[in-house]
Amino acid sequence: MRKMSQESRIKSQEPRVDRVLVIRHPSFVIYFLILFLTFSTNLFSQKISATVDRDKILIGEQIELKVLVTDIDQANADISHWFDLPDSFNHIEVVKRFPIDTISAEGATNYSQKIILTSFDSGVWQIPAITVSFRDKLSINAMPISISVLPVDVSNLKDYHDFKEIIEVKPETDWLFIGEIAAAVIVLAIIIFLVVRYFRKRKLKPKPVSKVYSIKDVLHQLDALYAKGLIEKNQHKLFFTELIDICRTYSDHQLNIYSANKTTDEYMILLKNKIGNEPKLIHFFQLLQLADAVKFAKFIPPNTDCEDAIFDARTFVQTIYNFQFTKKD
Amino acid sequence: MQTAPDIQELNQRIQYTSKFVDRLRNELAKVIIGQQYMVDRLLIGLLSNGHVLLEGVPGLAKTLTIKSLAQAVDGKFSRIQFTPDLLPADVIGTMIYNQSKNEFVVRRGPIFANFILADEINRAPAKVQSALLEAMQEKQVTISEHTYKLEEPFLVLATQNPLEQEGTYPLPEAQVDRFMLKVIVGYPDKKEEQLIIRQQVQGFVLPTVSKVVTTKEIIESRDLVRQVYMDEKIEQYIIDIVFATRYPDQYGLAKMKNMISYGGSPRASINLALAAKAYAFMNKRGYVIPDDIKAIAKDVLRHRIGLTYEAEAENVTTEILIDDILRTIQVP
Repeated sequence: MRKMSQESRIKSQEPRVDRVLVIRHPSFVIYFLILFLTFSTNLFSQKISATVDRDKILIGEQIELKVLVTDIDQANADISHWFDLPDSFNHIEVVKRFPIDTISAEGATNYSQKIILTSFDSGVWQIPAITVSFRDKLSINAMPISISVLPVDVSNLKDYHDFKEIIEVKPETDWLFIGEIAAAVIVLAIIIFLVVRYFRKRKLKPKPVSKVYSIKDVLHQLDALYAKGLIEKNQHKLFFTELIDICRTYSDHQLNIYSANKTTDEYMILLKNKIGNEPKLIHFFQLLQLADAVKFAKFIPPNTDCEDAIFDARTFVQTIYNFQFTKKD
Repeated sequence: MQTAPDIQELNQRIQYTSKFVDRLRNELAKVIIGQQYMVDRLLIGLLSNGHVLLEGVPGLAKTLTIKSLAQAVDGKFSRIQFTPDLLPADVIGTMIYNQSKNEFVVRRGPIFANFILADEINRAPAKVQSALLEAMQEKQVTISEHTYKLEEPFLVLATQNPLEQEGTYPLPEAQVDRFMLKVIVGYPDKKEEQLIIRQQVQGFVLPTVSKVVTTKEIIESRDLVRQVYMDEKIEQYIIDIVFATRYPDQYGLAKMKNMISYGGSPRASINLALAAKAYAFMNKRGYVIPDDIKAIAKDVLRHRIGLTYEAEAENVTTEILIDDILRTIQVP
């Protein structure tokens, strides 16, 4: 046990002897000193640089000034005052200022800013030394930069010319497009035609009061009206209303007229214009006036007049039929 | 309710009574060449107790016609030239101080007559127009504290010039509605114009208009006009026409809906019926037929239909709209 403890003590003391030996070695000490001095002086040594992309420009041309401040200890010695270039200085104009970029890298911070400059005066002009101050009262300067601004030789410039005449461009015929348009128009026209025809048909539908078209049917209707015995029942108004309706409907259809909105006088004029001065119409005109008196003045004609009315109506229908028949011939 | 014999009897009475209409027409024809349309409308106004608004360019014998009508009826005629500086008192009258009696007395205005010609009614300001139109409606005038009934027949015939609208005061719709008829006075035709030239230029002495009818006869005729029989179908026809001005889409006139800002009032229906009765009377009938309605529809309705901006932009007139309505509504 004692042996073991001695061995262990010897073992534990061995490395301690080695460390002391290493530290105490002169070359090692020098190395540490150099390393310490290097770190203590170079770790946060701020640098500033101001560069331009070119130092010769023509009047009005632009140059880019780039200011870069590196290795800033942001925690202990951040920038307290960034340089401030006026808009116009020393024949140089500031065109645009870009924002200040901040880049953090390996514990240090870099700041950079781009500024676009120009000059409208020929000569050699200097961008002054750019100064940046830090919180620890330290400030660093960049080197001033000289810019050569050269005049433009205007002697060789050409005169201005007027606007050119408008050159007429011959349109290219796109037959495919024209064909498409034509097809669309035709389709549209067909649709419009069908819609209009549909609505016209709808409008015209309620107009015909009766579906009677042939003379045989009309004469049959007149007989049927008389057979109803409306006169005997003292329904003269109804009798004459139906009588005139049958005649008007037939004449409307045969002569292609619309008399529903016509008064008696207007209807008579319309018939005269269509048929002419047909003597047989006079009796029908008298019948129309009699019907008006019955319809609007409660006039009760004698029964013989009612029988005559049927006869006059039949004659009128026959006259219209004959007129149409001779016209067709 | 009128029975068939009543109507027949009325028909006979009217045929006899209405003879004065022909006498009046003939008498007026002595001095007025042509203008039969205007004369007939004035007679309708006279017989149906309705006032008439005449619109036409100057020189169409509007004033002469009205003056002659007053002479032929033996009524008192007065003419009021409407001007921008006219006052209501100039129309209806006022109180003036009588120094000898030491009191105020009423001085009646020109409105106290049977036939009033309100010449260029749109030249006077609204308050004067209102004074006249109130008198037309109420048939009475109030001066100071006294109300005076206007003598029958009381007929106002106002004229308007469609030209020279600058500096005029157009009658508001509500006031135009009080005129039973608005008549557009047209130019005479070539033959009539030739006769007018001969009459006026060749130095003939204008014949004087004689009294051919009394005011009493006119008032009695008005009673008869009111009795003229109007069938239910005719009443329905009138209602359809007036309703078509209000709701054109219900009568297949949907395209007209955007053209009309307001349609005829119930006063339009009343006046259409009354004027149709007067027209039937003038044609010696004791009952109204659809022709009577159609004949006077434009004169009754043209000033009672309001047009929209769309209609005005498309040059659509009330006459065109009325024509369309009459063409569409089925005649009984």
